Amino acid sequence: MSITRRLVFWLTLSIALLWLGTALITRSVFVDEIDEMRHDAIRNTAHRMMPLIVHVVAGGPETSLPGTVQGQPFVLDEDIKFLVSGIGGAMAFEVRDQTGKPVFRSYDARDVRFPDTVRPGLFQSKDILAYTLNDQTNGLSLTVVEPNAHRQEALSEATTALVLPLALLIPIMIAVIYLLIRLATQPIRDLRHRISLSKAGDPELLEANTKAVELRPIARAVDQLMKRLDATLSSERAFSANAAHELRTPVAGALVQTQRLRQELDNPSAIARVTAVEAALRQLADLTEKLLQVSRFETIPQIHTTREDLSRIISLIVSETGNDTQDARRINVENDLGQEMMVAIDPDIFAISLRNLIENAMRHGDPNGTITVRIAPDWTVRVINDGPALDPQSLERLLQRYSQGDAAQSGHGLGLSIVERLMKQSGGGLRILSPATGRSDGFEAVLEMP
Amino acid sequence: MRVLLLEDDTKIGSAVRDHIAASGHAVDWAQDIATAMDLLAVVPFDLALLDMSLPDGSGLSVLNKVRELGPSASIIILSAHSRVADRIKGLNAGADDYLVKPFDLSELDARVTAVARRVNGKTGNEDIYGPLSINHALKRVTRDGVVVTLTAREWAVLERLTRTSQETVAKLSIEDSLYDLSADVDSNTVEVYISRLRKKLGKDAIRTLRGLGYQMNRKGP
Repeated sequence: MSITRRLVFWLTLSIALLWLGTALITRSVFVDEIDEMRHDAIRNTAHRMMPLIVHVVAGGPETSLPGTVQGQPFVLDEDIKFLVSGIGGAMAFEVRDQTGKPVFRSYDARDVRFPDTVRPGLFQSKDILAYTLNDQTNGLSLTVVEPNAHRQEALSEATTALVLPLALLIPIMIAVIYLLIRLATQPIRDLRHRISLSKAGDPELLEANTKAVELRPIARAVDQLMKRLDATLSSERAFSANAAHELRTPVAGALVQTQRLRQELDNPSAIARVTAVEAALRQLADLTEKLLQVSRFETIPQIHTTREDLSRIISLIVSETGNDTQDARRINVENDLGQEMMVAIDPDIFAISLRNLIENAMRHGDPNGTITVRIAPDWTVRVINDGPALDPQSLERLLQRYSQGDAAQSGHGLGLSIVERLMKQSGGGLRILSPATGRSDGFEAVLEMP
Repeated sequence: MRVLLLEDDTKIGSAVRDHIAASGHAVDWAQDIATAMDLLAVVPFDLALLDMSLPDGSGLSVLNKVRELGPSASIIILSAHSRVADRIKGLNAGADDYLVKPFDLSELDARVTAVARRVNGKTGNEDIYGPLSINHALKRVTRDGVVVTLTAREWAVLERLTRTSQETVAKLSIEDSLYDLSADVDSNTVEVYISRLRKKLGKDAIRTLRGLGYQMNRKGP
């Protein structure tokens, strides 16, 4: 999971939990405040109504009671009188005589269950909040009741009002947090991009171009790593170049001395032996060359930013290979691209690859045929040689052979193996085709550029 | 041809020197830059075979000197450095060809022939003088289709005479192409070889321009 996703998830969850916690605390405070207000309201109502009740019971006009209508003060319901209407709001009341028998109730008290006892003060049950007030002079008691349903409804609405926005807020929060994180992590992405483009020996230092203070230590560490890498690669390249020089020179000395010896000898038996030595030296030279090419695997720069003119390198390699007196075949160079082929690839990697492909074409192609090096319009370089087409099984075996990287084999196997690996490490590739494109025969090796 | 060989490795140097000398050319072999510079100061060379990694520096300094002293001289680099950058650097510095070690002597021959002819403005490997056909790549001369056998020295004199079209070649120049600085040269050596060549190729194959030198007859013998 990406850091952005994790941050979005945990930040959203944290904010949602905080929101819920705050909502719970708010609800709790709200409940306390509501209860306090209800208690005050019910107590005040009882105290305001008691003098009126006493007045009515003592024979005063009933219309002074709230909820009565003149001429129709009471309605009878069995033995209890009900006021024709309520007292307003959510409250109801009941008046009892000194024996505890109800005398009358407010109209909206029909569905209300009053407490059985008439103990003065507040009474709270699951369904109601009640307040009872006794009049000591005439023994009347007044109980004002408010059903809890109203309170529950108010609480539910308040809770919904607190929590519902969260449901709407979560997607908005995710989007905002995501955008903020993207904005905040832009310098990290910039640094990552620059690191991916940087290469050993790059004079452009990352630290100097990193504005975010928090990222500078990372940029500095990468700069130092690149410097060490450059030093290591330079050292390896120098070693590789020196090793090449040290290996080739004695082999070259032995080879030319052997050839001179062969030219000076008259004895056929001795000439045959010297020729065998010469052949062994050639084999040694070839193997040395291949091993030196393999040694390049570790020192190939992953990114080669300088664009090289491959047309010139092709001319160079073809002129060298074409001068080989061991093979008098003509090598044709065709440029179907119609322009210089500028490609960001290490010139030695391309030269080694092309030379191997031409040597393979010479070794395995028709000795009387031609070899074509073609710069194709699709920005590939193709080496095509005459010869019978390979069947798919042979081509597959060839692929398997070099994909296994069997360094002990010579010819197609090692040469193609080297080319494939060098080109892959450079970001390009190698394809082999037989028959060659647009033909019914021949072999074609395609170098795909990075 | 007068050949300067700059090579510090004795095995390669001695073999190349002997091989070139066996073809009839005069080879002066220097094993360091200082010696090469001394040789360049006293004698003009037709061909320079230069190693690049010498104990006292890079062979490029010698290459520049050769090019400065003789713009028409052929230069072939013999190096164990195979990097494209090294090759391009050498060619850009004025070398005509770049041969990576190890190499075959036959390949060196082919390069020398090709470069020498290219430098002297000739295309192809064959010169025709009437019934004479001279193939430089194969080092073969035919007269009316019959192969004429030449010794190495005779071939070297013929090669010097046919290097450029219609060039009058001074006797001294032929001597220079036959003998290195360490050799004792008889005063009539060139005349001897010219005489032998006329016998094999035809008496009018080579013209003598008194006081100037020798010239191939375009019409042949």
